[in-house]
Amino acid sequence: MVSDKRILQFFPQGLRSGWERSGMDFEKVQEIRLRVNQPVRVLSGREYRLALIYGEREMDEIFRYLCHDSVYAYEEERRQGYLMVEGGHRIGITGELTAAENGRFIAKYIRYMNIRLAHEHKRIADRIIRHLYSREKTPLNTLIISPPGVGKTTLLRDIIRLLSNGMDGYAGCNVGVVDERGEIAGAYRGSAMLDCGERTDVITGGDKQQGISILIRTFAPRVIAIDEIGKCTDAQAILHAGVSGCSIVSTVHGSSLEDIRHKGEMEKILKLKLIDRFVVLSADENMDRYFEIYDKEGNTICGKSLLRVPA
Amino acid sequence: MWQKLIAGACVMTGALGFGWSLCGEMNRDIQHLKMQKQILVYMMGEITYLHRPMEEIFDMVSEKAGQPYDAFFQKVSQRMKERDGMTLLLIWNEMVQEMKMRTNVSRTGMGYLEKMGNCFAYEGGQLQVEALGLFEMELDNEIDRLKTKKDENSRLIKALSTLTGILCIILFL
Repeated sequence: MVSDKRILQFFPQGLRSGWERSGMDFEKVQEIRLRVNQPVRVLSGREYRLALIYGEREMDEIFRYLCHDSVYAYEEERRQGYLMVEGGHRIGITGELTAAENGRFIAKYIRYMNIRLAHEHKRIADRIIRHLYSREKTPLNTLIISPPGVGKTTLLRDIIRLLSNGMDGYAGCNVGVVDERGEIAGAYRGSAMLDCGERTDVITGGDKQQGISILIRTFAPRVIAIDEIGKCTDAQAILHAGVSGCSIVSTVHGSSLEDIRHKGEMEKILKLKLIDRFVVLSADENMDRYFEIYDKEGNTICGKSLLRVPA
Repeated sequence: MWQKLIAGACVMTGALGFGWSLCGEMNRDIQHLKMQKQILVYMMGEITYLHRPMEEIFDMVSEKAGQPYDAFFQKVSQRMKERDGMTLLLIWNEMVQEMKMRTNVSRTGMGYLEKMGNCFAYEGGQLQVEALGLFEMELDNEIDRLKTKKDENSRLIKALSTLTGILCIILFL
């Protein structure tokens, strides 16, 4: 069986033949794990072990190819440990680190890569979105809580799209996205590759505080969306957005509302009582996703329901 | 007598013409190398200030450079965007071969364009700029050498053609 050609885009010519024969379906592949001198593993519903082993030279070749033979242009991404490529896919890179300027580290030998494929799942937020508006039909501050790999960023993207475009009875509004790692919008060279709606402005790179300041000063967003909060500076950034009259939609790693209450920095954010809605995501062993929605006080608004596109 | 003078004048004109055509070829070489130098300077600027990747720089160069470099850089950039697994060096060399067949750029100009392909794919920004800077110096030296050679040749050809013409007149006297 021949693989989808889109899988080949990550590999230079000399390393493509093995992938052509692997029969992988691009739409189903979530992650491709490359580890030096170890068989390649692909997460596509379940984990597959491929008969492909890359040595140091091949890992270097792949990295250089992913950087379009312009490694110098990706210095900052290399320091942060990931690259964004066409299509909004994110590639985690690591190996031996070496000290760079300003006390930061940069991967000197890249020996491990995690290619995370971005897939768009539109309309998955259809059953959630109405709970994220107030009675006056204004967007509420929302926090999506989910363990890694369950789809919080995908859900966030769909929420952004719906808030931005509007829907029956709900007008669309300006949404500002602070996409530090380019994962929400799948930003590549500044442009959103994934649909974030018609009224959405995306800031890629930088940090949340800086991004929120720029958006508030110049783009007048009604809603600001940020991914993965949890640092001590995030509380200030959220407060800044709150006092500027913007609603916040954000995500955080966690398994439940209780779980995040005990995380040091999140505790501070929750104490601000800014969050009006908590959407908790979970998945079962078949990777079916579920959601629950809670209000500011932790009361259930919507019990455990299947997260899927409505029929 | 007048026939001898005409013959002498023809010899002198012919020799001068040959000399000029030789100098003209050198002038074209110099022009091409100067264009390549301009392209290098532009590339170095884009790398230094905006850290743009090569593919984007080539795209921009294709809009700024004159013929035949505009089409060359456009094609290289296009091939890189196709992401067909080829490295920049392979694409570059393939395009240089194609250009050799289709345009009349001198051998010197093509030689340096081919060499330019080896100056890419450095890891650090500074290193990349320095590698291009080194190649720029090489181009400068070649331009200087060609200029000096052209001046020398032009003087020599002028003197030789005059002498040959005079010799013709004396021989036919």
